[in-house]
Amino acid sequence: MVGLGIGQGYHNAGRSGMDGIVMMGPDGRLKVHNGVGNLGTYSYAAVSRAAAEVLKMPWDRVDIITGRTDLHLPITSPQDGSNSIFTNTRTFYGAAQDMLTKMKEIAANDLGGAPEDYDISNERVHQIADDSAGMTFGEVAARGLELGGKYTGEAELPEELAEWTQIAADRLAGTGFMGIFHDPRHEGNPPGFTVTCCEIELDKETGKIEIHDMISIGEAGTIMHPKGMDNQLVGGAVWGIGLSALERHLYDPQNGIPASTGYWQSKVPTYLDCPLKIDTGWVDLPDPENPVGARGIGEPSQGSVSAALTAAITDALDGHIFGASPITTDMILNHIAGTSEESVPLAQNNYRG
Amino acid sequence: MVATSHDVMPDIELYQPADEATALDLASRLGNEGWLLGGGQDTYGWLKDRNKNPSAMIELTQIDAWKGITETVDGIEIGAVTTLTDIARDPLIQSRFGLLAEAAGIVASPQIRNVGTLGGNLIQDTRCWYYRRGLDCYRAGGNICYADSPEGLNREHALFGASRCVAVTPSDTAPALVALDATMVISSTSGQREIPAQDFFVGPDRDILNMTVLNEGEILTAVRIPNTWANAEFYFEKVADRNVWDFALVNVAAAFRTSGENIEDARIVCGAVECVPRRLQDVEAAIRGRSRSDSTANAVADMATAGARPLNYNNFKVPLMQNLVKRAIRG
Repeated sequence: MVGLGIGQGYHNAGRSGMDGIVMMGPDGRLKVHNGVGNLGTYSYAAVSRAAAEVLKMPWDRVDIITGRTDLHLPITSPQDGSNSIFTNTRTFYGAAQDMLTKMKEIAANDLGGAPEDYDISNERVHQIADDSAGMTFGEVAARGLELGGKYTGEAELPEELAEWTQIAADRLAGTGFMGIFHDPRHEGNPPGFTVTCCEIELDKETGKIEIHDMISIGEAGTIMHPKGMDNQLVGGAVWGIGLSALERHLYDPQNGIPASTGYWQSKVPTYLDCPLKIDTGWVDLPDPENPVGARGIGEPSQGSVSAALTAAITDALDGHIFGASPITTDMILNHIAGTSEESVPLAQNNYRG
Repeated sequence: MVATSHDVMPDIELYQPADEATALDLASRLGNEGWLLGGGQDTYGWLKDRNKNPSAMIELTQIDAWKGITETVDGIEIGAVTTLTDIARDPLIQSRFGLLAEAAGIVASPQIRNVGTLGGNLIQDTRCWYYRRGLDCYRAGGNICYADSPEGLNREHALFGASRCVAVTPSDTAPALVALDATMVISSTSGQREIPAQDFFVGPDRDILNMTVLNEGEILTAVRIPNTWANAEFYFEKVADRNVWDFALVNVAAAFRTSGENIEDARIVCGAVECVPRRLQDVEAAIRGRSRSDSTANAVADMATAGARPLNYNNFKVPLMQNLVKRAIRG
């Protein structure tokens, strides 16, 4: 039996209220102090690019300082809830803007004119009217170190900094030219959306399903990293397939112990449980609440696949709704054989006390 | 005792004999304390969880005499520590006993088949999760079956042959070897004995602690397959939750000799429905003289599961087993 399903996934995909710190020394390299994690998606690198973009820095001149709290990192959001790209591009964009403002102040102070008479290009800050009148980033950073005060984090820090960031800033103070930013709370809730369509074949004799075709389209603002976006959509699809068809969490009511221990009993999908190819695509419209237009997509991509696959199973079974997931082989066979009445479905994904 | 994961290997004496005599001598001397190690795929989980605690391991994979596939006067002989990958890819087995090649080729995952051995796949312990968890059930020497109780989670358990314990055979190759009328070669310091595959596996009514007839000090060293069913019409199918790295909910291994349209003789064996591979002799008898068709298949479907006693959560195995037997007969 062939079944078709369409599903939509949603998750709030961004937060605010975190802090950002960028530093620069006389060598002119940009150091992004970054507490964002890496669940395999390299988010710490993706969000650092917002700072590089503001300062028009070549990526190989940027160092990401990460991995240990004693490297003096600002508070960042945990890498969860599809929020990382939205939340932390805001903070690093803000920190880099602060550094840019300070660069123009220093240049105006030393070379004359007002800060707004200056722009940056090729790692130099220079007059708009005469770009030969300028300083390299390294020279600005060295000058900032001489001047101290707000240029090195020794004065005029944002008042709302989190306690954690305050500690990091105190320890960095005086060691380099600093850009620092506290991100105020934004209005609203940035949504991450996906839509998935799939076609399955359900074998009524074995209760097994095979996914013939699957496509997921994401709406996650500006796409910063197309390969990463594709990975998020495909990875989310594997997750959604598990949620709808395979992954069980059982508790034994007799002994009160988890019965799904280890990968085998948890039934995480394998390569051969997934389609050979999962098509992906995206809308790529910038989000107005984010300076680089980006939003998250991690969770929505599993939700739409899970919904589409569940709907396709229902479609293949003439509209029968199980009202539980995952829909496993035994549930499908019991339904087809008409034994659903006398056979009790295993209480899944909850503790049946 | 509840299972606990540990990060290091327990303290175990490791023996790596390179010849048969040394291995058999070790097995005899160490008895139940000498854990027989093939590919280790049914070993390390037990040891990691500390639910089996042997003081010594005898690694069998360095003994060349127990490895490889050879043609004999009336069939083939497969060494017990031959890997499942080697069996699945062997041209002789593929051409003559495709049923076994198919069964061996669908066990677990490619990685496990690369190290897992035929002997290990045959004598692996049951996958009943209560037993694996280290609970003190009948099979572990206690006096209760947690699976066969009003609240037991027994979706994967037995339809037939329950006797205090309701665990099932997890093997994919065992039903194929029963269907092929294979013989198990068992060696010990006192010599060799041969047991028909069908009698090699034992249910809880006979021995609730062991799934095979192997005694202390004995080693399964080879499997012999006679030419009886060589180049017959075969059917193998395994239905599991996942398509890789999973155990059968039900599997079927079947062999047919036909003359013209009609079945002259057949073997149909199902796994994962009983503690032993379940041969369906009534069905085999009923389809003799009939064609491999829908009508024959439908006529014997109920007979395939006659006597089944489903537990709370495994009713689905009844239609699944019937459907697999029907598919085997239809071809």
